[in-house]
Amino acid sequence: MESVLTVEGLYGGYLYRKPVIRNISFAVGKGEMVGLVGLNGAGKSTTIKHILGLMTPEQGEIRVNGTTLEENPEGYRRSLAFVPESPELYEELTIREHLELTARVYGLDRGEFAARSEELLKLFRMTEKAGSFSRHLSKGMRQKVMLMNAFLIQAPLYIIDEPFLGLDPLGIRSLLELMAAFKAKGCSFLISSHILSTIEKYCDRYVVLDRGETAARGTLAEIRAQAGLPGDAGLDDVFFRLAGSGEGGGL
Amino acid sequence: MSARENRTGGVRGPGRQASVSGGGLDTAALYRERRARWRRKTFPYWRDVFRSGAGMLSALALLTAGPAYTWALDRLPADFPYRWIAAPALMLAIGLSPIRTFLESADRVFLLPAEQAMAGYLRHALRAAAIRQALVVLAALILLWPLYLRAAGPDRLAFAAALAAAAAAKAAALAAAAGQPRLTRPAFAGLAAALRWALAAAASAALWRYGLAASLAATAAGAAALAALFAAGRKQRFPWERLIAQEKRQAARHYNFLSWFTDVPELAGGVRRRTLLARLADRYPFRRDSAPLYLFTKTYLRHEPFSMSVRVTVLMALLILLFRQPYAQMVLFALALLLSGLQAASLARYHRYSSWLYLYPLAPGAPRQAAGRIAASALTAQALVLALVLAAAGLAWPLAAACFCGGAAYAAAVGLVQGRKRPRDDRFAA
Repeated sequence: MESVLTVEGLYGGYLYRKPVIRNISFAVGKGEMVGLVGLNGAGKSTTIKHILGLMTPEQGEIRVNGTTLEENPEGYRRSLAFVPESPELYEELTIREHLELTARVYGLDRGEFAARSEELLKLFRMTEKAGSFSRHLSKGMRQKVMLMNAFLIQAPLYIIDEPFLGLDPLGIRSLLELMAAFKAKGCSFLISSHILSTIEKYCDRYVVLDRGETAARGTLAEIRAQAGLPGDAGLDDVFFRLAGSGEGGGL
Repeated sequence: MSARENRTGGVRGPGRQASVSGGGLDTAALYRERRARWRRKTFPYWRDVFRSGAGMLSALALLTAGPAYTWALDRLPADFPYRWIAAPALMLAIGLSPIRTFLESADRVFLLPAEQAMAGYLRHALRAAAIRQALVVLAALILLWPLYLRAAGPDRLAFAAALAAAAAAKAAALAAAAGQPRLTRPAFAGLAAALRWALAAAASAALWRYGLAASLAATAAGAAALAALFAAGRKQRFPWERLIAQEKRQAARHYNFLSWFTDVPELAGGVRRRTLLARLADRYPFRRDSAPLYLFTKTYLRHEPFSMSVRVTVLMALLILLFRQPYAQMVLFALALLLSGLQAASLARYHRYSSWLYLYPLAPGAPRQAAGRIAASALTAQALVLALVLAAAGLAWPLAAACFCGGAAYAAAVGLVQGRKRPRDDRFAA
């Protein structure tokens, strides 16, 4: 399968020679949805920051659509859309203006922007709030704005960190519908989430991180086998077996 | 864990150990700590304010205000209606009763278990406000007194009597301001604010018109009405939400003032909608290369640098019209551009730490260049407006045109420097 994202032997962290993530390797194929799971501090966000180019790897290589950030910065960035765990919005722009900025940045024309933004505003029930500044929105609404901006364009790769955080049930359903529709169009997804029961239904493969290393990767059946669990074990059980063997685990 | 231990545990939080002594909450120490923290936090901004030349200007203003006041007093007619100045001035000093509590959002979690002790904390806040506001009232009276002595008739009040009346009114107003957040019904809280201002207005007007007894009577009537209102209204034991919101507003006012002179990242809610003006940015071509201009134009028009530029332009235009000497007019023109240039230069700092501008597929340095272009355009527009004012104020056309050309050259230089400047931790450079 053609890979949209390849991470190969990635080492990196916040202090030189003290990598938080070690030897992380995985790929996301075209039209594939991959779940990046792990406990708090397992290295999910650090891995994502490296993919986004916000951190520089100490070792290893990351390719998006066949190119590295150094080879083709604009092409690399144009190939991915990102939704962070905590919404980051410009306090000077209204919701509609955020969408317009994204449309301009990614080269949409005015007509496309108008049609797609109206569609997304309607889907996330945000039409009435389109003229509001971000500071007047609840956390869930701010998250919806991030999602609308990401889905305004059709990026080859979507990286979504905790997509369901703060969303109401209708918002979660809208997001899942959008993800399924974009996946059908050939877009790929790397999703980091703790809501295992939901991502189990939607992801094709998983990368389980534990204390900065890959604990398992593959389809549910493959990681189930790697965890030594029977065929009816769910992602929850697999995750508990793979990542829950350290401290904690009960009172 | 005992209830007492539990309460103490709730109080303990990062940096709060100093406020907890012997297992209870030391409200005096906590208040001192919070106030000191606020001063430490704002000190660098005040340093910037003085460095920006505002300190020198204030000193100059103070030095010239004294002789100007004396000069004006010497020329006052005997029937000068001094009450039209004295009454509103003293009313403001009495009615304005801000109480800094330095409460933070996190207190709803960490200090909530110590709610019982927080009444003591508020007393410290009230005491600090009382001292500061008593000094303001005293200063207002000292400033007004020469005017009063000059213009009032032979039956003049003694200064001590005026001070006593003002102090009584101030005490009542401050007590009302302290009790107001506790009133749960917004209508009652609004009524309390209205009564406080009515008390301040009545006490001040009565003092200058009828004297001490009338002013004290007005204060007593206002205080009685306020007491009745507080007795009738439902009260919250400790209005966390309102006090925290009030504190945020007061801090924002300080930051807003400081932002006239320096970049204040803490400034929250400093964004103005300015719908029509902000639409100017929508006229940029719908292309990728215009995206940074789109963002920075909206940022400029909705933030303080634009407001500051408008204020400076209006003020300097008035001064140019007032001073008829060509040299003074040209100095004012240059001063306006210089002050606005300092503000416009801060534009590039607005989104310096935004991950988005780094993640967007934009040409390296494009956001900085956009900020530089906007700074240059804004300064050129200001130069044009002020050059027209110079001409209207009587300056020869060639001189006004030369001023504009100089201003435009300065604007271009500011834009160029901003577009190229690379602060150490600037992500735009990537």
